[in-house]
Amino acid sequence: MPKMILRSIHSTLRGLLPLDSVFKPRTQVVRQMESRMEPSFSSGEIADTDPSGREFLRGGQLELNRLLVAARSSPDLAPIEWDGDGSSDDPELFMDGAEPTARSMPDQDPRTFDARQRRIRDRYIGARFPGVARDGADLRAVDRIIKSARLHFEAGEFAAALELLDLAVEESPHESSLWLARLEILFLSRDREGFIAGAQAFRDSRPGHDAWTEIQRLGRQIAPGEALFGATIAARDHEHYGPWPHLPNWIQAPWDLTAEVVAADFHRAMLRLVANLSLPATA
Amino acid sequence: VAARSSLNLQFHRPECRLEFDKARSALRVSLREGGLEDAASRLLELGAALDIGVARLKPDLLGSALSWNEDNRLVIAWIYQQHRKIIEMGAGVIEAMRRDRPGAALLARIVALSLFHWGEAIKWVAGRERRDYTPLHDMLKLSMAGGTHREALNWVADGRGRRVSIESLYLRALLLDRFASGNLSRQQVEVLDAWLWEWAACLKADEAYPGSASLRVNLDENAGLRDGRRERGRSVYLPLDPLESRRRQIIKELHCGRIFPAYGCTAHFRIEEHVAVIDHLARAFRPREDSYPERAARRQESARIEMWVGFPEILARATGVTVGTDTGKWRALSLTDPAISTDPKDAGRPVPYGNADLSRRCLWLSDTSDGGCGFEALEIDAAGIEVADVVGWRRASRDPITLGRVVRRQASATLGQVFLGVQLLTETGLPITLVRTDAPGDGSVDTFLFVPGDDASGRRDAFLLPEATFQQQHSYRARTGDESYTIKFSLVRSSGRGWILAGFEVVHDKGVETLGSSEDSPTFDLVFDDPWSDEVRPRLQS
Repeated sequence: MPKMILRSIHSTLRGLLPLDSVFKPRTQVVRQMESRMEPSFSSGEIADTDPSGREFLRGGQLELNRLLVAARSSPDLAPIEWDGDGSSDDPELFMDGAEPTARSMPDQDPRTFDARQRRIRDRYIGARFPGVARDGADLRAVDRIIKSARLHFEAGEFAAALELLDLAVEESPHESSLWLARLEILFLSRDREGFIAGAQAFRDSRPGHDAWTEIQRLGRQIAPGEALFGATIAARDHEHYGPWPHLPNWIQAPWDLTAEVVAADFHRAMLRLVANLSLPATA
Repeated sequence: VAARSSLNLQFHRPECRLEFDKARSALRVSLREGGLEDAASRLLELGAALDIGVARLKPDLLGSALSWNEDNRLVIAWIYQQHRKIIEMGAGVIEAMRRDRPGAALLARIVALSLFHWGEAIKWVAGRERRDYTPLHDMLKLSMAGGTHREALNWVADGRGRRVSIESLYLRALLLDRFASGNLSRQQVEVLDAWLWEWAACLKADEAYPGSASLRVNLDENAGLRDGRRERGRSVYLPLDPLESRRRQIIKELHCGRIFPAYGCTAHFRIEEHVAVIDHLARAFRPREDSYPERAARRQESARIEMWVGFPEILARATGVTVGTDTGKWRALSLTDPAISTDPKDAGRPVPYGNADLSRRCLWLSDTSDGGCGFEALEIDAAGIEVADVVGWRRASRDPITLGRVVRRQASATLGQVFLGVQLLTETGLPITLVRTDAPGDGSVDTFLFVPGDDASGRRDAFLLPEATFQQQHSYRARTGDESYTIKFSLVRSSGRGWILAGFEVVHDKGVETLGSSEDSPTFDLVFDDPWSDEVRPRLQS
């Protein structure tokens, strides 16, 4: 899908002042500056200190020597009873033994990541999926990613297939085909809870999508009685149609079986070569 | 702590290590003479000082991917010895405290000290040793009897405060024991340990079988963690589901571009080390059936075998094919050429080595099973062989090439030797030369190693090839007799340093009649007499 750059209306009127800048009240900025809050601080709260530094001023001049002497002497502070990491500001994250929740993961949109986050994510993608993607940008090749996910799935690596699609969805959330391929793999791996959650997320992000009827049909099979997928309806005549019968083929499985037949042929031919052991085989 | 003990904790300096040794020896003497509580407190201080000093060394010792030098090895051996000595002293103090019964809190801290250093010692062990688990189990049983094994206590590890319990320290030590058996590098073990500290709240063992994936400790046996359920005897079970949940959470953190944990020396390790631990734990935490299959039977062997390490060396040694393009314009120098001497006196002239070829590695095949082989090697021969390397060898000159992946590297029981565990990829690897069919480069040839799968359909067949080749996504033609096949690498089945075991698909063949590209939609009618008549070649139908 070609990238679209959305422009605001004021940028289309070249040479003219942006319309919104004309109508924007200029007092707003001033009001924001005026409303800046100074930190409230009471000099009496910490004993023997004066945050204004007036005690080191004499005739408006800073008494550097007195300041250095004061800095050298260690303050008499009450001991801090340190409570370990259990008192961190996010105790939910890994420390309380409870299941992590969505609050632990504040933002998964890679487009909002800073450079360091982006770099770590890219390195992870390259290390996790060598040969498939070197970084997040490679995940935007939607057809290639769906094919790779299907191959992982066919090799029995369900988790890898789903993780690859998860990463690709995070990278290109607007690509419905990635969501649908993910749903089909969840269906094929009989992950009931995962399918329901994925279907719910799909419907929330794409209300009225054409594929929703098909998702409902799959949902009724994997999660009968689930309200999200509605009541059972009669099977359609063409439901068996496709390379994987009864499935919508969002994972883009090939229709042509010749490649598989030839692969078996190639396997036998190579085994004959191994038996004959003519080294190296010639092209 | 360091200030109070007035020890210099710069352990990379020999004089500081000597100073610590003296302090430890002095404490050992005073343990016999002084008051028990005072001695216990001083032992805690010494243990904390060791932890801080070692934590300062870790970035240098573990951060570099380069091999250690002799100084590094000395330091590592010294660290291991110090941890062992502290465990011994801790055991003595615990024994004395059981008699004299001072405060329970102090006893709990000494038990925690022993468990903590038991786990630390495992990370720095240099050779293979038979571990004594009985004192470890006794410490847990002692705490369980007092009902203190789940009481929270603050502990400092790597100079950082943690909230732990006796039970979590005990299970951490046993998990490190299980996973630090040569399958993970030292860096990866350190990553795992960093996670285990964060997962302390999940490290809880129950006497009742949880009914799901779990690891078992037989408290009445001198053994570490085991799989499966036990019918008789006293055992505790560590449920793995909570740990698996945390493992997945770490993956989510990496998706968000965050290393977990974000502090400590492991935050600076390569992402590949973190990914290797994630993959290893995925296999370890996988739910299994209650009836665990017996370990594959080992057969003793005693053959001396020349081993080739890495894809280029396997090709060069096994087939005489050197990797690279011969343009005819420049002569390339092959450093693996046995005619090239590294002796300075031979500079500038080729020297034939005859039978004693120093560039070749010879290892002893010590045992075999259906899935792998065990090798013993001199350290000099095993230099540079690491976990995840691909290796190859032939049992006889006309045999096919056996290919394997190194899954374990461990110091041998014999000094100066290394044990290598190799997972078999195939015993019938075949070098085959493929011709590129896509432009540019059409007609150029590459040699890869064919790895037949165990499935007659060919779906599990693969090629061993360099990592860079896979990423280029070329199409190749393979000719076997009269048949010609066009293949394209499609899926990474396994990978390691510089190599990939790539699945492939037969995409198109000029010599084979196909329906067309596999990407095309079907154009045939849905109603016909023989649906396969157009898809299968006549030769296959006959």
